[in-house]
Amino acid sequence: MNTTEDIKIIDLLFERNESGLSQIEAKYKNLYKSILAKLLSNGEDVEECENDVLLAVWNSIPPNRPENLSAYICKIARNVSINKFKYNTRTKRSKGYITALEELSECIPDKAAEGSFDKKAEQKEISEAISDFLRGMDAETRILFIRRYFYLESVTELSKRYGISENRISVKLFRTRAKLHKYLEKEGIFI
Amino acid sequence: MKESNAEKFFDILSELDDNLLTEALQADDKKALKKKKTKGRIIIFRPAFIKIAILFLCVAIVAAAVILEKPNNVYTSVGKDNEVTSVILSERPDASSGKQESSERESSTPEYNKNTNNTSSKEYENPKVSSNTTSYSHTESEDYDPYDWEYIPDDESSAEESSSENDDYGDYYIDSIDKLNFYSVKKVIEEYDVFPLLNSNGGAIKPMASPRAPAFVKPLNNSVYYYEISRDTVFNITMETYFTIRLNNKNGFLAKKLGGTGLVEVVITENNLDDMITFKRGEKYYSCLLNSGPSYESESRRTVKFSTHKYIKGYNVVKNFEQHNFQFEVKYNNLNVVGFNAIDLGTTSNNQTYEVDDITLNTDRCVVMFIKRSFTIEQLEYYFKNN
Repeated sequence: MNTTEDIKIIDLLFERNESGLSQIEAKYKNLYKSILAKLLSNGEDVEECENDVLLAVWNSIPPNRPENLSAYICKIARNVSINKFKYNTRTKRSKGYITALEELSECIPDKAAEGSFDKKAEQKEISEAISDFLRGMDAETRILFIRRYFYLESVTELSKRYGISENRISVKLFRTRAKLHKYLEKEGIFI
Repeated sequence: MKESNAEKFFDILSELDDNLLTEALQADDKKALKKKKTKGRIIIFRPAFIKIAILFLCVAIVAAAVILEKPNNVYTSVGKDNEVTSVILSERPDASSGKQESSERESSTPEYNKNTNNTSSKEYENPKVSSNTTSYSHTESEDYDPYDWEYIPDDESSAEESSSENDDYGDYYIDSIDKLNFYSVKKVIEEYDVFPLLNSNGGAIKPMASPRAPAFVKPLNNSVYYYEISRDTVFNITMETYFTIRLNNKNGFLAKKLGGTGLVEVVITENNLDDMITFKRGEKYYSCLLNSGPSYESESRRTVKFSTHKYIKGYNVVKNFEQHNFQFEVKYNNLNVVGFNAIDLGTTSNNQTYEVDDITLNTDRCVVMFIKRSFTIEQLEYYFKNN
């Protein structure tokens, strides 16, 4: 799902042409900066991680040839910000991150309580299972879940963006987490 | 404890499907939320639903059997219909086998739900590619070269084999030694994390003992030979090289074989077939084998030469001394590739259909490793299917 422009950018990176990075910066800077800023409150950290994102792109393409450059950059930005966040603050955690973590813990099947899990699923299997689960949801549920837990947008931001009440979003997310919990249990997945 | 699990879970979300992430990113307003549910929706089959479905299926099978056996009965009275139906049930073996089939389905119902979901997801992520559509420079080159493949028999039967086995591995089916060579290096690069690859879980492939060299050599005439490589052959590599080049001459040999100019990925392996160089441009491959070398200019500098007289077609290693011959020289300095040249060695026949390639070497993206590995083709397919 790359645009022609994205394909050209990837080709430039394969040729080790640094203008590929400049074009990524021009096209996607706002995107990856917004993802970094969700987790990192310090402006200097964000700036530093912007460079880390570009470096990770430079180092990983080639040999990787992403089929979807924007999603690829989002993932890198998210990983970079999480790593930076973990490195920076074991004590000072951003409120948004903590809230998201607390909410997400509801999705995780409790091994001791269930006692019937027959395998420890690998990370990739789990993410594929979650992707499958989300594909089975309606668009609204899916988008809200990903916006909230991948892009770390707050309920207030989602409410403003989509014109839905905060309460309704919270309820919807709560139900989705509960469904995901059941789904993962059924699939025998625990973390 | 719970929080650290949540953190892990949070990390796992980083691997969510690209399309889902893009969809969410592009959904900027309320309209985007109103889309219909996706086709891959998970359907939960409850026991009551399953029973009703099976009952309905049985009735449908019986009805179909009645109609097929005695089409005229459709027009008889209701009472007679019932009578005929009962007779047919006791007489027709088809109807009972239909029932048996449905009872088998009933017993496997819990799996059915899971499979439905899995299938939809696999199709979503990895649409299967028939082997017939796989493009190889040898078979798809616009320039027909009478010396290229005409001596290789049995293309049709091997294509049939490919398509049936392809079902097992989808996109990851390795249908040629070219692909095998390329992906063997890719796997080692991933496992050793030479590049900061994403999604590299590094699944293990158990090394195999006692590698077997290909033994079957068949001379087709005085100057054309081929080795047929079995899919069961254990492939051994002891050295892996990866780098990229740029082809500049559209009439060059490689450009013709690979369907155009531009960036080409190159891997070289020392393996139990022979030292082999594989060029990959998009989905097209071309491989040829060692001509001579390595020759050492100093302790650190060495040159390896590959010749297009010995090349790969599917699972065949072909030696054809009649065709237009080119040599590729790869110059190493320690663990770097520092030079790459193409040389026209001419032809013994009058068919000089190609020009020599104009090649630019990208020197800053090179990996050279000496790692011993043994694996079968099936193991390699399994690795890429599961990682």
